Amino acid sequence: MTGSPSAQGGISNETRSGWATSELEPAQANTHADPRAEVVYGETAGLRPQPNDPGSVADLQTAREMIADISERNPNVYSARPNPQNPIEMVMWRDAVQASRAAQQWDLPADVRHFFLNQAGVGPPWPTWSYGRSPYATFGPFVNVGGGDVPRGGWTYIYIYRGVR
Amino acid sequence: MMVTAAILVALGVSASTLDGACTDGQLQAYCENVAEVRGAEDLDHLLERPADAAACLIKQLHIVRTPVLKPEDRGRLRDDFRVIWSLRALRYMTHGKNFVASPGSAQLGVKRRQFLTKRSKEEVPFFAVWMSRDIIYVAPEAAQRSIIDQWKRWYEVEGHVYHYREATSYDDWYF
Repeated sequence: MTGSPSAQGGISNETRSGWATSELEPAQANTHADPRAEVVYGETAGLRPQPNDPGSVADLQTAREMIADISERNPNVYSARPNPQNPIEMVMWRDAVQASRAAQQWDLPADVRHFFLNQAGVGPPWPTWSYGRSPYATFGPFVNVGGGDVPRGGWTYIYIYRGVR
Repeated sequence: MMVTAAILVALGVSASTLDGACTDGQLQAYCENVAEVRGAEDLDHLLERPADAAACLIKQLHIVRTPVLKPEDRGRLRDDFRVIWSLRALRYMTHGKNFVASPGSAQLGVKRRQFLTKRSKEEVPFFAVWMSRDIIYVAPEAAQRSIIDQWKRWYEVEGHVYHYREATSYDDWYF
């Protein structure tokens, strides 16, 4: 991650690494109604950390927490829920629920309201709405296995923006 | 709307019309390239002659037949992006004015429906944006047609007397 260290909220990378593989009871994960987690899942379910890189695991989870926080102040986000019969989707869902819970513990500055995903070298490197601004925080690169709206590849970045008015 | 028009006539203000409006070549060219703007500051130029600019922008509105516009399509679908940016510019210079219409019974798909109906299930805007992908979801054609008509009617009634001023948030004109 680059950007504001304060955005880490004093939570250690070790703890964050643990979150990404932590266990929720399956029933809890299935039935838990959590709009923030649904946004985290909808926005990031196709992303994976870099293989054998605990720092990447922690980075991805921190980015998910920021997305969870932002989802409460910006409605232009995508929400989705997993297929409970799909074990891979359920792993991503559990990470999303954990990120939502962690986001309750700390708040980003109120004017951190936007984020953008980009596969390096594909499409515009930043959205028009961010023109002239440097990201508040940058996470990645991650592996995008989901394809679809962001091209598949190993160089997916998440950019968090502050002060877009 | 008829009442407003009657008041304008009583005040000696003629209703605005798109016919014969937007004749300035420089302004026309600016509006034709409105999709090339890089931020809100670029749109401030339109506020120097807002009624003429609004006429130019409204005249270039038309039905967009591509339901999902991705950032990488800007070169290939310039005409569609020009429509979206014309609406963004209109919203910007009218402090966020937005028109909506019934989505009808069109099949929209999961993501398109989710973004277009975020504020209301009964009425959709011309377009909605997935922030993190900068992907534009476009309303069904019947809704587009209605919204274009609403902009034209608005201009006829208020176009020359409207108190134009810029939107203060991207949320009010971009998304």
